[in-house]
Formats: sequence, C-alpha cells, structure tokens
Amino acid sequence: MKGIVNKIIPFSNVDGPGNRLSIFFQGCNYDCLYCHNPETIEIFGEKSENIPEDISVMSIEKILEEIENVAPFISGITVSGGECSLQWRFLTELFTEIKKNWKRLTCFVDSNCSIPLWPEEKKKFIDILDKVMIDIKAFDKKDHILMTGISNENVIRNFKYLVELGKIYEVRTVIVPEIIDNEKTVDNISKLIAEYDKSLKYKIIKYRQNGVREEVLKAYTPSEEYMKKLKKIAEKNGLSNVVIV
Amino acid sequence: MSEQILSIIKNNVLTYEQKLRQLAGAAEGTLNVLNITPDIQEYRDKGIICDLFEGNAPYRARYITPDYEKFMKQGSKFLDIKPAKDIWEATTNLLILYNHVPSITSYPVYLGNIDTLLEPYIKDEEEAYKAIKLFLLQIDRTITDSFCHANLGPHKTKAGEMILKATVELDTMTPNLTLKYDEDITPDDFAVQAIETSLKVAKPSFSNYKMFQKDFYGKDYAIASCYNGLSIGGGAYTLVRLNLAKLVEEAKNEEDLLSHILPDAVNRMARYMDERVKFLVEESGFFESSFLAKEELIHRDRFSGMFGVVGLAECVNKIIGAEKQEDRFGWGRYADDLGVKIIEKLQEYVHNYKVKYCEITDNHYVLHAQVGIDTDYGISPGCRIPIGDEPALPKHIKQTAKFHPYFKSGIGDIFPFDEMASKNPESILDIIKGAFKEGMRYFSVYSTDADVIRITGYLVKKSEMEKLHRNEQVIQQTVVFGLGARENSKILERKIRGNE
Repeated sequence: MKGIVNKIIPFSNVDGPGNRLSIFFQGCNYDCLYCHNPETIEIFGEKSENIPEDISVMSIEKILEEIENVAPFISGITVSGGECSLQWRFLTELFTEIKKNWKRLTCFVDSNCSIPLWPEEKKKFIDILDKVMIDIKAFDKKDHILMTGISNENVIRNFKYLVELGKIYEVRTVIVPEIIDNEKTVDNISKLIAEYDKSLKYKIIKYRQNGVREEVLKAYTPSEEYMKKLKKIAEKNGLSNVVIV
Repeated sequence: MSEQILSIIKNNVLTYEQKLRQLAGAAEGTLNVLNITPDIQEYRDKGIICDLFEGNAPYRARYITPDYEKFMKQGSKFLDIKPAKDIWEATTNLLILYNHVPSITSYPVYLGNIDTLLEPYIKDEEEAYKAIKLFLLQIDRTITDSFCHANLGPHKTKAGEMILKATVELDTMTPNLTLKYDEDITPDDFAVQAIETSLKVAKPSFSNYKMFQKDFYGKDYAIASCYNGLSIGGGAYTLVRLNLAKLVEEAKNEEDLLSHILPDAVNRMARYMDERVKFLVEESGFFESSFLAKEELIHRDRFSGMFGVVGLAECVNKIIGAEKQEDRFGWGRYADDLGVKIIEKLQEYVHNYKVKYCEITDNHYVLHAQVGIDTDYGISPGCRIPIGDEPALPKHIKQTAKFHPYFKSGIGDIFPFDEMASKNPESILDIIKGAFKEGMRYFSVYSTDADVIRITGYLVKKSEMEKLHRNEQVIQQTVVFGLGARENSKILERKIRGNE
C-alpha cells in the first residue's frame, strides 16, 4: 500500500506538541472557500495517471526512512493535508510501523473529521493514533456547506466519539469576517466542547489571505479586538484554554 | 610608543576603565621576555598562529575557574570573609571574591554554578528573589565584559528558576549563562524555562552534561568565557589559536597538509604555548603570590593550555577547490569527511606533544574551537559551517556534531529562531535533546526579535552596537568586538530557523 503525499516538513513547530515531522497528504473531500493550500485538494489514486511531479507516491518504508533521519530531534509526527483521513488505511499501517520502530514518538492526525470514524473497521486506526486536531469550520449545517461544500453531521458525531475516548488534542475554527455569523459559530462550538471537556484547547485562527484563491474568496484578516471578543464568548461558556492564532 | 599611549589617553570613546586596561596592555607590550624562535615568529607574522592579545609577559592565567563551593564553605582569610549565613551575605561574599579573580580581560570569566551556590540560602522566596536580582544587576554593571560566565544546573533549583526570571527582567548582557543539561537529570519544565529565557536574552546556552562529565573523568566542570570547558579549581594558562584558513596557503595538496604542514604547525604553536606557560608558572610568580592559590581555591595542577583552532571550513573548501555549494563544507560528503580527518590528525599531533604543567589533561594541550576575533574577515569560527552556507537544521546538526567530541575545552554552534518558535519552546528542547544524542557538546539559541544576541560565543545588545557605531561610549568593552564581527563576519545574516 502507498500514500499520496504532497510534501514532508522534517521540523515543524506549529503542528502539535514539541518538534514534529509533518506529512501533508494529497487530496481533500472539502473545497473550503478559504483553503490556504488549494494545490492539495485534487485526489489521486496510487495508480492515477498524470500525477504531477511534485506529488509523491510513497511506500511506508520510504516514509520511515524520512522519519529515521530526524527521529532523535522530534516528539512525533503529524499527518495533515489535504485531508489525510481519506488515506486512513495507509495511516493505520504507517502508525503501526512507527510505534514498532520508535515507541516514544506520538502520531497526531490533523483532520476535518468528515468521514465517519466510529465504524468498527476503523477501530485499529483510532486505537493506534495518539491524538486528533479537529477542524470544526462551522456549527450550523448550512454555514458548513457554504464554507466547505458539505454538511458537518459527521464532524460533530466524530468530535463526540473522539472526545469521549480522550483522543482530541485541540479543536480549531478559522475566523473569516462577514461570511457567516462568527459569534454564533464560536458560541455554539465552545458550548459543545464545554459539554465534554472544559480544559480542551480551542484554537480560533485568524483568516489570512496568503495562498487563498482570489477568485474564490477575497476577504480580510479579522482584527485582534474582534478575535478577543470571540475568545471571551468561548471563555464565558466555560472554556479555560482558548488560543488566538 | 608614547604616541600610542597618548592616543589611548585622549580617546573619548573609551571609558576610564577601558583606558586603564589598554594602558596596562601597552606597558606589557614593551617587554620581550618570551623566547620566540624565528619559525614561530614567521607563523605569527602570517597570522597562522595568534595568541589573541594575551600580551608579551603573562602575569596571570588567561582563564581562572575558582572552586567557589569551597569558598562558600571556608570564606577567605586574605579577604577576611566568613562563610555566609543568609542570602545577603552569600551574594555579597561572591561579589567580593569576583572582584579579585583575574583573567585575560581582568574580569572574572567564571562565576561558579550560581544556582547551587545560592540555593542553600533561599529561605524567604520574596527576599531571596530581591537579593538575586540585585546580585545579577551588580554583576552586569560592574563586570563590564560579557566573557564573564555563570553556570546553572543540571538540577532544577529554586535559585535557578529565580536567576532565569531575573535575567529576563533585567535584560542584561552579563553574565553569560550556561545550563548544564542532562535529559535524565534536568526536568523538562526547567529546560523549557531556560529556552524561553534564551529566546528573550540569548542565554543560557545548553552544555551536554553527560559528554563533559565523561571527558572530565566523572568530575564536575566549569564553562567559562565563551563556552570553554575547564576543570573547577583550575583554568587555562593560555589560549593560542591556529588559523587553518591561513595555514592552508602553505600546503601544496591534501596529503601535504595532513602529513607535513599540519604536524609542523602544531609543533611551532605548541612550542609557543610552552613559552607562555613556562613564563607564567616559573617566572611570573602568579601561583606563588595569588591568595586564590594559597587558599586552595585554585590549584596549579588543575590548569592546562588550550590549543585553539579556527577556519576549518575555509581550509577544507580551499584545499579541495570547492566552488559549488554542493561540494563545500557543510554540504559535500567529501568536504565533511576531510574536515573530520583534519581534526582527527590535529588531535593526534596535539595529544602526542607532551607538555609540562598540564597534569589535569594527561600532559598534553586540549583542543578548543576558537570563535574568532572581531578583525577576522571571511574566517569561520572553529569548525562551524560559514554563515550563508548553513544547510537545513537536521543536516546542520548532524554535520556539526561530528566535530564536537574532539573539543573538550569548548566548541559550540548557534541557532537563531524565528518568533513562531517562541510559541513552542518545547520544539527547541526536542531539537537540543536530539543534538546531544547526536554528539553535540554545546548548543546556543536566540531569537531574531531580541535585543541581546549571541555574536560568536559572547553576548552583545544590538542597541549597544548601534551606539558605538555612532561613536558613543558603551559600558561593555565586548560591544567593540560585537561591532567588528557585525561588520566583518555577517553575524546578523545567520540562517533563521523555524519550520524547515
């Protein structure tokens, strides 16, 4: 089995705890208005024709080699995308091998959590991964469809499933001004988090134009004051670890 | 001569203290007491051998690392000081002793493991913090030279945490700090606090405790001046450096360099060092007259001589004629392997040259990767990869780690990080843990946003360099060196580390 990889960053300090090797998998089932790396959206199979040169079809061994090079310097690896969970079978195998070779390395999954993770067939995947960073891009179904192209029923169900297993590292929401009601969104998402774990990290991320397709969305970065206002809403709902990025 | 003295006296950019020290140097410069043979002088004239302004008649050891633990226990007869009973007496006693510890700069280059020295006196935390902060302030404003170095760790202590906190609040250049770090002894939270401090004030650096311990036969060690590993209760008589970037000009090819030029240069430089050590030990009377020796805070037989080396990268690139980056030191396999071979040979030649008065280091001089001087142009410190040629961090660390085991009296590398790293200091701790496992001896970090930055081994404020650049007086003499390095060695252009 092979993985379709867009790129690997050997040292990353923004993808979870400590220093991590980050693997960006190719292919996404969302088409977010504010996608920062639209080049990772198109889905290719292992045997697809016309795979662009900068995308790699990688074996487990090849990825393990990359990890081997930096293993002494990292706390773990983070898989991201695109949407890495689309390649969950490959990830299951990859994580299993990583744990075999380096017990101390943690495996984090940065995901939109849109595919059902609760079915029995994915149990091994969920067991072997350490934590998930989950994007909840909107709370209201219609808003979610507007932002991403699909509904968020699976996302919410996955959140509830994972949080009960203690498998969530953080929840994230990107704040784009003037598209959806951000106050309401943050209010609802923080209430949902608070219902399960008030100390869970909730990251609200300022929208930035870099990388975003101008023909799809032209927006501006929200002000620090606006972000602080949103943070207060989340804190009022009981969350103790709200971070503005 | 009198013209030189008058120009020192009339120089308005120098403070009174700086004038005094330069005048003393000029006086010493009139003497000619060392037996320097023509072949040694030839290499001195060519800049291949350089004694780093140690003067013509050594009357104190270059680096002195007193046994401060002993001083805290016994006080001092000469200074009429009794052992301290509380934190105020403890800090005062130390400050008094610092004033009487000489060195090449005239200031103490080593202040002891100040956290463990002060920890027993911490009773009321608020009062202790005030005392520690004043202690550090006093050091910065009176020891006006950032070659002055204090050590911390490897254990986490209350005093250690207070020192780090006060260092950030004071935002000072002096003292330079090193955390002796051992993953199995130093808890992560203390190490992370040290990294957060480094990202604000460019210190402490991290020294590989396990590695140094092994090299010092299980005994504790001192980190003095830039990053010099020395025996506690001893120090270094002298530090002379061999400039490989210039030595290479003498060689016809690799073989000639390794088999003829290098051993001959080692021999010339070691004989020069012998002369310096001999005068200091046998004629200057330093070890007979200093109260530090009489009260056994230093022991003559714990001193050694540091055999410095600089410009390995330029030496390698030149001898193999590397033009393209992929072939150069830090990138090309052949270049890197040759670098290791040169250092291996150098160690062999230096260790085979037996010397008097270096009992503590098995009767030979010890290798030291010298960081350069302010007037060096296009010569990289020790075995470092030249600024502008730095590869990605994982590759850089693995390359540089190959050289660190050879240099027990000091070698290190410096990595500036971007502001994202300060949001995740744990990521830098991961890198340091890995670097030490790979065999690095000494690791320094600073943030490109901070005012205090690490020049080559010592610290200087960017704002102070600006002042001096405008011809204003500055309190620290090290700023002069920093400004020179800024102009000649591109130290503000180091590759900035973040995600890579």
